Amino acid sequence: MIVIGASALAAYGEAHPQAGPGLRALNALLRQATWRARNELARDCGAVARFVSEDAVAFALPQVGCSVAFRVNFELGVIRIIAVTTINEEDAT
Amino acid sequence: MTERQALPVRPIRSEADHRAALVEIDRLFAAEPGSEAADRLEVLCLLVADYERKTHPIASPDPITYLTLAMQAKGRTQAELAELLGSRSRASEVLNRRRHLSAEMIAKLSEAWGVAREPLSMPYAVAGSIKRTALRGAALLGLLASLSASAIGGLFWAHGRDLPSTAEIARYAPPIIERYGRDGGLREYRRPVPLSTIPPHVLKAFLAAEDQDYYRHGGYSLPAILRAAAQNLASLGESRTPAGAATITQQLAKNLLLPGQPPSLARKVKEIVLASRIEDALSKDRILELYLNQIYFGGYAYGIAAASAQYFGKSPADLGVAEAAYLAALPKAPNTYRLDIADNRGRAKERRDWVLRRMADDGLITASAAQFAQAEPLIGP
Repeated sequence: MIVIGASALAAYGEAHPQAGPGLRALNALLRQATWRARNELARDCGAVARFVSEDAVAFALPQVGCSVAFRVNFELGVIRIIAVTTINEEDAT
Repeated sequence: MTERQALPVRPIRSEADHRAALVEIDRLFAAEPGSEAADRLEVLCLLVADYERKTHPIASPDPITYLTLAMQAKGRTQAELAELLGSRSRASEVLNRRRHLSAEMIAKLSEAWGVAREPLSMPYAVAGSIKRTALRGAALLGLLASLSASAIGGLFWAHGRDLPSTAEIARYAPPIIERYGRDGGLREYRRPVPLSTIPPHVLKAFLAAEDQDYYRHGGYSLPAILRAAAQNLASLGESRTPAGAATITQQLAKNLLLPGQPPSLARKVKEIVLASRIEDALSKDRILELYLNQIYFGGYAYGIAAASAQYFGKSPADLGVAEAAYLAALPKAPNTYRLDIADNRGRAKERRDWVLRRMADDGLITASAAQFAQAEPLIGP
């Protein structure tokens, strides 16, 4: 997939260094993905992904300490990172 | 089609262009596939992705962090990873960075779980790497040390096997010799005297001049040998006499058991072997006694008694401090400091006074005793 708005991941990683490795891994995970539909995304990331609207997804990453919201355009193969927000493990469970 | 959508897509060259492009992407994100808006969205996305790759690059992830996130996203557990990799310990070692992911493991993860191969194939360190490197380095050093020790041991064994044994050395008794040449002149005179007849200040003069650590070493001084070796290495190619680093015991070994052998590594090794055997066979006082009765003092004089008689017409028991210091100066270069050759006397006095200063520095005599002795002429009235 083409990931745009990845500067939000970089900015969050700079502000929260402990989250940097996890966010680099997420960036690679999204770029390596070849999702053509919601069910494929759910198959690969169902344990952390939650659809909040037709094309908006929230990835909860409690071990990284943040949640990443993005939109997906399956037809174009584009992921648009919207926001990275801090969470803690209690929020995620 | 709106007027805004008809605007041409511009290259993204600044943060302002980037922000504006993101706003437009958000507006067009749900564009109908196949529409002009979707085409515009696609081009904008490619331009933004290219700009971000250049201006906000994100490094490749660590393979284990990537694997952990991929497993977490898929809801996979460590037990499942163990099943896939064929062993619990293997899975644990991989996740705890004690073992690298092998190509076979990466293939299994890709085929069975759909985990991308590329991020798993990046290089990374495992916990044991540094420890293993240190252990390998230590093992290599140990091997080199063992080889060096074996080589040195072999060298000493090869040069030591034909030398007198400890028992033969213990039986040695210095002879009395009075040898004359065909012209009737005295050529060699030896008359051994017991150590007990030699005054302490005479012994101190020899210890100060020749071997300050005599009563502390075991026949040879490793630091002195290393210092001499370093000096000899530093002066390679020069025409200087190699530094010797010979203790009194080594000098005795050389004079008694290796007479006439030119300086060489082999002779030095033999000296060390013999010095060690001499120290095993004899007491320190006995070694000093043999040394003082053995060494050459120039002219016909071999041993302290002959030297005392030759230069001062006295027995060793009657030597003063200045005379003792002069005799102690002789073994280094007997014929350079001989008093009976007038040209030598300036050098001889310098050397004698150096011995006296050294005796004072070592606390063997007082500074004032050294000064009084230095004021004495080499030859009495």
